[in-house]
Amino acid sequence: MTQLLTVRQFSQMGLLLTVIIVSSAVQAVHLDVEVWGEKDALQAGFCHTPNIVGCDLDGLTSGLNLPAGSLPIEASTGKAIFLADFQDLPGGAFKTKNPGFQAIQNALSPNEPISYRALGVLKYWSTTASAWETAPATTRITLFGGLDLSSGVFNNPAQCNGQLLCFSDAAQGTGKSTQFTGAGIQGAPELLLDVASNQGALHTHLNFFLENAQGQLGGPDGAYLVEMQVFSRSRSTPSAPFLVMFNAGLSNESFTAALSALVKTVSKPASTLPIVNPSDPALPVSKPPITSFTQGDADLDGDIDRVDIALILLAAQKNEVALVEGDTRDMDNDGAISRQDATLARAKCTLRLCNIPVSPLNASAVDEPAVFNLNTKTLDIRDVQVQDQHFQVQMQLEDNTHLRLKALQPQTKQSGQASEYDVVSGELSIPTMSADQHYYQVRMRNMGSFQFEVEQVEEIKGVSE
Amino acid sequence: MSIKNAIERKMQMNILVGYLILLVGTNQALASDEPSSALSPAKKSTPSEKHNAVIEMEAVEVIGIAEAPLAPQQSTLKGKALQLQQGDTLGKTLEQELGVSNASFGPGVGLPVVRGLTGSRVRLLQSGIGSHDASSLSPDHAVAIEPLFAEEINVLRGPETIRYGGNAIGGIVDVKDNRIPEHLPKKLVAGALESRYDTNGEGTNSAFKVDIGKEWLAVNVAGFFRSRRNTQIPGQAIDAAYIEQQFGLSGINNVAGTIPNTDSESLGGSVGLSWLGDKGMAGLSISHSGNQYGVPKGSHAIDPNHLEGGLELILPQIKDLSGFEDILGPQALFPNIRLDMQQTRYDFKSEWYEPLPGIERIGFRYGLVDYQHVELERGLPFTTFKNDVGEGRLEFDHHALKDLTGSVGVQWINRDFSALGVETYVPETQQDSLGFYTTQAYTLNQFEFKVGLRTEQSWVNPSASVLKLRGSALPASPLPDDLKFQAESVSFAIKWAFLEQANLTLTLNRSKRSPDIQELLSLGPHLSTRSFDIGNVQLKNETVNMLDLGIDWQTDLVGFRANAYYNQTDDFIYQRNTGFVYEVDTEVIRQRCVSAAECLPMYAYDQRDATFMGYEAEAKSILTKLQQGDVSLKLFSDYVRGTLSDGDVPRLPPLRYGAELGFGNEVWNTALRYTRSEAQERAGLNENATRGFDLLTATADYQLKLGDAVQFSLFVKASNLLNEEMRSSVSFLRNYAPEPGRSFVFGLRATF
Repeated sequence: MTQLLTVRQFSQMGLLLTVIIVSSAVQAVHLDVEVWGEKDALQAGFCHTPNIVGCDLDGLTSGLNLPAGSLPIEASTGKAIFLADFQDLPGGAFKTKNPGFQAIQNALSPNEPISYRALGVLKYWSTTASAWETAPATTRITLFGGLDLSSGVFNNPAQCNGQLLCFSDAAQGTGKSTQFTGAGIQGAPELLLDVASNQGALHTHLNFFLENAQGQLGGPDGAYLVEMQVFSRSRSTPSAPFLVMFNAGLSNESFTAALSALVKTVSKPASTLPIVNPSDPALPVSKPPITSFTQGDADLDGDIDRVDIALILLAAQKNEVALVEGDTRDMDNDGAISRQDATLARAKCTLRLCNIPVSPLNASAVDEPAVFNLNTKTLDIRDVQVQDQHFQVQMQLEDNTHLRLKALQPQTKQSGQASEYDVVSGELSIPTMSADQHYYQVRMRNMGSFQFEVEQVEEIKGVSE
Repeated sequence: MSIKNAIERKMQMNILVGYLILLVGTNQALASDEPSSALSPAKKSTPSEKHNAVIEMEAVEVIGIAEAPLAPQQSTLKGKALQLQQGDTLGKTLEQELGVSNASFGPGVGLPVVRGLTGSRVRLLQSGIGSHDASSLSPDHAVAIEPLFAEEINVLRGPETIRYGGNAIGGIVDVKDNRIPEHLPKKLVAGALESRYDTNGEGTNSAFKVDIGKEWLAVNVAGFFRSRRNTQIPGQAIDAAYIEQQFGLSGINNVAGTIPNTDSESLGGSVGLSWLGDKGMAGLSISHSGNQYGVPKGSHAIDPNHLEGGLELILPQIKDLSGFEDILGPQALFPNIRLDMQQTRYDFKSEWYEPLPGIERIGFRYGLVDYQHVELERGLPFTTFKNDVGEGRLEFDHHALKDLTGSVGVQWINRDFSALGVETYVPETQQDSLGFYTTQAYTLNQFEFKVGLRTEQSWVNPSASVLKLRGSALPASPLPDDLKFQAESVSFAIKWAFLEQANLTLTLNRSKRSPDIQELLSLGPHLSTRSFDIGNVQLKNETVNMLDLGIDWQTDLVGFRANAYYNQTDDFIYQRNTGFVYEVDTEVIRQRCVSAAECLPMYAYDQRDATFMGYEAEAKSILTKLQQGDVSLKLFSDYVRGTLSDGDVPRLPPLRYGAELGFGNEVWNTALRYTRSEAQERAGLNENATRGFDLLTATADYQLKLGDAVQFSLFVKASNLLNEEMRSSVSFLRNYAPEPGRSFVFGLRATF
């Protein structure tokens, strides 16, 4: 089962990446760096699993005139080359957020901080020289990492002269950026990339700037090459180094020539793809069970949002079939991806701007596990655990025994007194609910259509406010 | 003066004011008559009107009382002037007043800015009790005072503001609406109906008022309805050049000729009941108003190439979105933000005339305000702001000595505030304040001395013990249980009537304002101001040290009024740029951001000394008297400059000057007004300069009397006749929503 799901997750991830590649043809060709953990090591690469339909990189290679089936890999070192374009945003010729970094759900440990480490020297390729050489001293690429919340940000007013949030001295200034230069790495060589979600997923984009030595935006046309790797302090082995190649004003032809100069001696084959391990990555012990993938979570990032709905619609348009049993896009399990699957996924959407009615939740419930307001007849539950996910919930009493789900929002602040919802039985158990200075234990059941029926209410004696 | 004399004088003035109204033929309608300031020339009766049997008073003497010069720091808008200036918002209504600007956030929102100050520094009152909405919290929140109900609007700066607490250090704007009747109507049933139509946005405003009264009982019933479509503008809504320069974006979502999502609809009504006795009065009113309006799209929706999670790459490939437009269609991707505001007020007022020797009046005033607005995106609520407030005032007016009069009072406010939902950047908080104050006036020959003292204690109690930044891995920030502030204020003024018709006033004012809730406790992204706000629980009181010198000189033909002021504010509360940015979509804090449109600068509330200086000046003269009417000319100008130690205070109005040419008589009037607003080059940190613009307006009104029962007033107002693109430097949204283009307002009022 684990093996099956792993294949599924990576195949679907590949599908998403393919979508981005193909779509990007009209803009800049780029591919996010995929990150995942394998036991005590962190890995990074294009496409984790080979020979999967979703991992077709033809769009990328054909756009760059690479030999069929080959990948942008540096011939001399075997390092993967990720491509980006400083001009991929309208109006911003010397800055880009690409490539991004992605990890699918459960690819990392929950809340695992991932950092990058800058390596090597900045290389430069110009049309006049038609060769890679060390970048001139007048040019650099600056990368701003994420802030390390544990050391760079304080949120205790006592530490912040009263401010509810402040930043350490170390978090400010150039010490918290990395400069790739022809003379090597300057500034901070290691900085935080981002912190994985509760589901062990990650998707972040850092900010790369092409600058002169004084930090002013700009630089000569050409291609630039930097080297980096990612690591986690909770794993002893960092990823293999990889390269990021930036286009700064070159035509596609010239950019391809620059890339070809790096990859020219290598042709395919799939078996030589970097950082590929067809076996199931061993997961850290702290990881939640991999069976927690949610049907409808097409991009496997731990939630169902509009991106997932769009991906399912696109797959339906292409008459795709489920890649494997339990494909998260195949909501009705009929083996085909259809618009019906998108409709079903939308009904499960848990984020704003989807189908679930969302209304503001009562913050008065913040300090109570559950509060029933006798005046408004609303029940606010601070933390409802549904498998490994937590939600803040508001219900409205309709009659003496029925409540309707009014609002549902992800809850990031979990408590030790979570109410529990069993997806199989539809039973919601509230260990402590306060109402008019009395406390109760409540059990109710999901009757469908957002309606819950109260099955048991028992006062907890000896508890007072 | 005894209470009997006071009542007699009050009654006499009422009669005389009524007489004056009869003279100009507009009677007491939704607003009483004239003038907009003390500069207005005294009215004179026409020969035909002198035949009216009602005319039996000593008109000259009465007019003198009715039009006594105002304090130089005070201006009053009422009568026809109010009728012609009435706009959809309070700020729009007052924008022509000296020293007052309109901080718009699209046409649905307009906050009055007094001498460059607004928000928590200017108290907005409805018949003496605060509006208690959420307008001080954020510039996209409308004021919950409906200008259509206004009978008189006072803008006050100076010693009298001490009655209203620290939040009045920049001044007060008091909208008097007579919802609680204070006098009997002239006949058993009286009232007024008004309707107006605005060609810009097809705006319709309608209002009615009925006063019923006999012997000791008076009832007031009023209602209004206002509706408008999207505002029309010259050129494009978004300043594309600014966006390209600021964010490096081209090809943005922009619209020409109109500002999308600026339609609004408002409905409200009130019922008031009063007992009116010889020795006192007591009354109450219940009112409710609702206002649904949209705010123009800000920078977060201007880039069509930016969507979350790579949607901008996926969606172009999907050929059929039918059935999914609600989450993937254009409106879903760039949704409109709408606000649904509801307010219910319960007001009570009681006065006891001369209860004891030397005590002229005991007044009690209490207002209970239940305010709520819901912010909606695609029709779904995402944040609800609630403000439940009780504000009371007990006041004793005395006339202890012949030349010494004054008041002693206590004022208290209990406020429960919450902002719950997605954009919850301020926690649920209770705020209480208790203030004791006194104002005394002493007259000695040509001099009048006024002194005011106030001490105020306030408490701020967040209900939560911690505050969590949404989406952040940071642990929750601990919040204090209780924040306590003590603020003392003192003001002194001396007025010297160096001529019979002229006086000079010097005011010294040292007032303190305690920090407001959002300054103390905000934490999170605030999309309307494009900022990430960080509160500071160690903020101290802000102290204003104001020196104000004013001159007022009025004759029959010429009037002149001018103020110059200097304000040194200690510990001015402002938002300091931390240098970090917050990426909205990913909810990540960064040092620098590739796409400025996707990131919010992070501001922390801090304190620093600031200086404000400026002036207001107005001169008016009757140029010639023709058979058809008088030709008058008014010249005016105002200016304010504010500096922090490291730059200019942002969003201040520019130098403004102009002239108004008037021609008319008691039956009809016309006016042509030209206002030049210069460029605001001193935009302040992180703000962009605004261009100057010319505003040309014209007004005309005509009074028609049909018998004794009904009289009509027809009026027309043409605004922005040059159809200029006007981007006001005081508007947060100036780069996304300019002021309205050319418009013509046609109105009809019937009084009976």
